[in-house]
Amino acid sequence: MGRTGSFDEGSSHTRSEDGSSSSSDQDGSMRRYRSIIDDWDAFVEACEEPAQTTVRRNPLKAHDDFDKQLRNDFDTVNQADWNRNIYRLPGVESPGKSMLHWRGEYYVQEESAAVPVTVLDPQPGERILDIAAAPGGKATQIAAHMENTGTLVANDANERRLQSLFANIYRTGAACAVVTNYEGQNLPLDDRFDRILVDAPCSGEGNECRRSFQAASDDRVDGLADLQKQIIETGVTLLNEGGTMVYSTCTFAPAENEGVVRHALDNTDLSIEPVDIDVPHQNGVKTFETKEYGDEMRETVRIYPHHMQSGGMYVAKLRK
Amino acid sequence: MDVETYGIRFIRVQDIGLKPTTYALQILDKHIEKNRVELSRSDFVSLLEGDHVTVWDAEGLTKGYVAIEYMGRVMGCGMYQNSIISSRIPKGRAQELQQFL
Repeated sequence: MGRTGSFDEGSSHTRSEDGSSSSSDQDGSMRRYRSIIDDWDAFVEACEEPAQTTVRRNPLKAHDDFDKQLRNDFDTVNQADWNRNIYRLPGVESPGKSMLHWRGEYYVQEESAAVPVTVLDPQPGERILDIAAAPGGKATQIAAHMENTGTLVANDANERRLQSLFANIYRTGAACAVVTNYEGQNLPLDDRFDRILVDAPCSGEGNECRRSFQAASDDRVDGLADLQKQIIETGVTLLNEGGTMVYSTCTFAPAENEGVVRHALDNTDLSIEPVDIDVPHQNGVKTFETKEYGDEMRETVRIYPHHMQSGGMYVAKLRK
Repeated sequence: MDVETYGIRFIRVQDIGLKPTTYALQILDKHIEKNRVELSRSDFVSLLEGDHVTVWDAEGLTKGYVAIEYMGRVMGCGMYQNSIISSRIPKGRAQELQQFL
């Protein structure tokens, strides 16, 4: 079901002979990324529609009759093939208004946002770190994979957002979670983890494309890329030998995605592993504008809004 | 590493003894074999509104905290005494749930 590189990156018809983009691509909008988007028309169309509403069943709390009760609560319910815990609720505007949600039997989560933890593949009994955990969508998904055994350190730098994290941990019954409040790049270095999720603070173009269709400024992207590199370097120190790290963002800017992964490969013990996921996607890009990121980026994954009728996402899998 | 919270609180120590939290009872759910009380929709709504509910089939129930069951799943904590149940589900959570029943 995925795409495996049939798209010829950099082949925009607006590209000039010297390889630079035309001025129409540099108007501050998402057109800047046209050359690295497989189906531009589909992308634009998807950005004009709201993302499809989806919820993720929580095995820690969901009852045996969850499927039946969910279908009682909502008119149309479709289960995703690639992850049977994902339920699509087309047209539903308030998916959190149900007894099942109150009780923690599901979490309202964009479908593409469920990909990073699926790739991370947490196992019961492990020690896992979620470096930027609030408000808890991926942290609670990790706890469910762990079957509430082992330890999940759910960290977030933002003290105000910790309240949402506490509430979601409690509501979903993620009893294996321990919450900490450190800047990701300044976590204490005395612990070690089997797996680490770096769902990094980013410019959020994956959702901004629906709001304003504006790309992030270079200054903002560069500043975030510096932070993301620092966070990933801290993460490498905290990872056990042979451990797995998943780096993800919800943005399109290659400087925050392939650029950060390139930095990690060049400056740490991390090596790249193929992201093996059965969802529509495009492979990561090896070049963008004047920057080269390398052939290895084909092992990473870009999910655009038109792929899953969801938010944009970038996912890379790394091993120490 | 300094920790903000560890896991989920299971028990509160109160003057009258140890009280299981609503979150704990929801997690334990199927494993709770004693002091479970199943309520109808109307009784459960009354309970959430703060009313006391009479339990007609009180066989096996002992005075103290009980797990309140609705639609086959444990919803939270109640207090049982003399055939009467009252809610121990936090008020804010109870008000939130009422909107969806």
